[in-house]
Amino acid sequence: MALVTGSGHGLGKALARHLAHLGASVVVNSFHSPALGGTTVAELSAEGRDAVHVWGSVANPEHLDQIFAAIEARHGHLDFLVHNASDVTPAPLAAITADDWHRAFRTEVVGLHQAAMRAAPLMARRGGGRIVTLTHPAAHRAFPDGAVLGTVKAAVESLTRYLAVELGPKNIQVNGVSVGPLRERIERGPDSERLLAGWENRAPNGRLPDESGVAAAVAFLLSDAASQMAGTTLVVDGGISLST
Amino acid sequence: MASAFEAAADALLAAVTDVTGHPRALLGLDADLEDDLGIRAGSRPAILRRAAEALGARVPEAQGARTLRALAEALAGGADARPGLLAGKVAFVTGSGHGIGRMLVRELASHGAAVVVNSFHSRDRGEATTAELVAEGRTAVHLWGSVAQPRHLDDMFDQIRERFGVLDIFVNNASNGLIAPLEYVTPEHWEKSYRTNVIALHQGALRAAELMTRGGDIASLTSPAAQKCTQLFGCQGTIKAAVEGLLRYLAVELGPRGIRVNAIAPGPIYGELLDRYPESSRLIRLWESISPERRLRTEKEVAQFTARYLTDPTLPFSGSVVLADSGVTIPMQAYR
Repeated sequence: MALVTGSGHGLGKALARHLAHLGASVVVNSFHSPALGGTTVAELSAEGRDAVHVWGSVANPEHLDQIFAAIEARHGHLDFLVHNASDVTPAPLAAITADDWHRAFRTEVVGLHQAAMRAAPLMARRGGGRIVTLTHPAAHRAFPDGAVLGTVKAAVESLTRYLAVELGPKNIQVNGVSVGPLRERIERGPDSERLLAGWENRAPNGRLPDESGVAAAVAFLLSDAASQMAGTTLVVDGGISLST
Repeated sequence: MASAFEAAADALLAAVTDVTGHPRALLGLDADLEDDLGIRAGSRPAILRRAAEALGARVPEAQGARTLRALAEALAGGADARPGLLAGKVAFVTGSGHGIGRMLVRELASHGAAVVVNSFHSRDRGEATTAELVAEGRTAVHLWGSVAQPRHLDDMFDQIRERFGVLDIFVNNASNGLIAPLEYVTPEHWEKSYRTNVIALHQGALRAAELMTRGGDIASLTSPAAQKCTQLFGCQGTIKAAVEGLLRYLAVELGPRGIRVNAIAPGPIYGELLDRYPESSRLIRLWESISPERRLRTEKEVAQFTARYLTDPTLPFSGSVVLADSGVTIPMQAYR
């Protein structure tokens, strides 16, 4: 039983699909793009997987109440929470508004905390669970227009550690995956050829990570193999942040 | 002047303790240096150099001095005779009516900076801190306002512009955060802490940079709890991690304007913040027992260290989190 927040499209969708194909029942969540959330679920159902779509914003505690009430009503418990939802504005410092700061923080940090607090009792019902957070190397290195992203992801990594410490006694392991620029995401955006070449030049093997690589890392952190890890952040960035 | 003497005596006693290891409580000002304290002439230059550096004063001639009082008087004369390392500089420290902020404006003022004291919840303490400094012959003004409110920030920076026309040092010290287990942290707690620590740093730094027409320093206080888990610090630690993330971007984007941006991460320190901490006496004993020094640091020591960094523009830091915890976060604590 897995909830992937922000999983109507992009990386979140890839994560939900990967977990469903590993046999998990997945709760797909979307907010800005409910039609895409519905499509993700329809695709999975057609493939014989167990998936349900729950609309709502993780930045809104009342929506979270409804999301978790729906999970409880349907399954009675939760095993995995993957916090992928993100709402970050790329901008230089001088152009960042208070609203940019708030939207990012409410979705990434407060949303993670509030979702984790609601997930924990549902996980405790079956003796524990796993939480995986998504973060970004921009938390440590300067990425172009990355101030909001880097600032809130630094907070996410810290909160990942605190959640690991405070939920550990309930047998809930909390870890993160730091995802560098994804090949698919750049390919979908503007000026992709030039950007892709620029990033690939920074990767030791000339390749950027892709969604399937991230999905494998998330699945690893949800597997028994990772039961002895807590509060760590796996970096899946093709090595781009290794350079001086 | 009595206050210059007191500051000199204070710096001297600290220097003697550092150099000789003598317990400070045993250092009488009128004790004979050689006969009562065992401080030979040969070790005096090191002590005086250290004290003078802390004061931002020149090292005085003091061959004939036989007591700590005589050394302190010589030091005080030096402090008065020479402009401090920050003479002509303007420094703005948020949340400086009490605690570390208050100690820091006192340190910066003692180095000759004109200081802007800021308070919001504790206006009387901000005003008292300012009055103390003015009485000691320093240049200090008090600005009331909340760093979490952009309009207050606008107003405060406007006043700094009108009064001084320039800013050299901006210290993001004001903080706000619940100290509690994560299950007690509400979205409102998060919001308040984020506004005061993170958005205030961004908004304050942008406004400060406009006034730093001759380059400058932006510094923020942070905590080792951003990177390692301290009991009850889930909210504060997470928020401080965001502060550390932001400072790296500030360093990169403001660097071309000659502005250094760094953060100081003191470990647990004696003072009002720790006293307000739930179970503070148990935790103070615990931290003292695991500290390599078997003691915590004081607010004044943190302020002195921060001021020492701010008085030396040659130090090659930018975008750094300077861990100033005396090693207290190296040993690992039990969770239960």
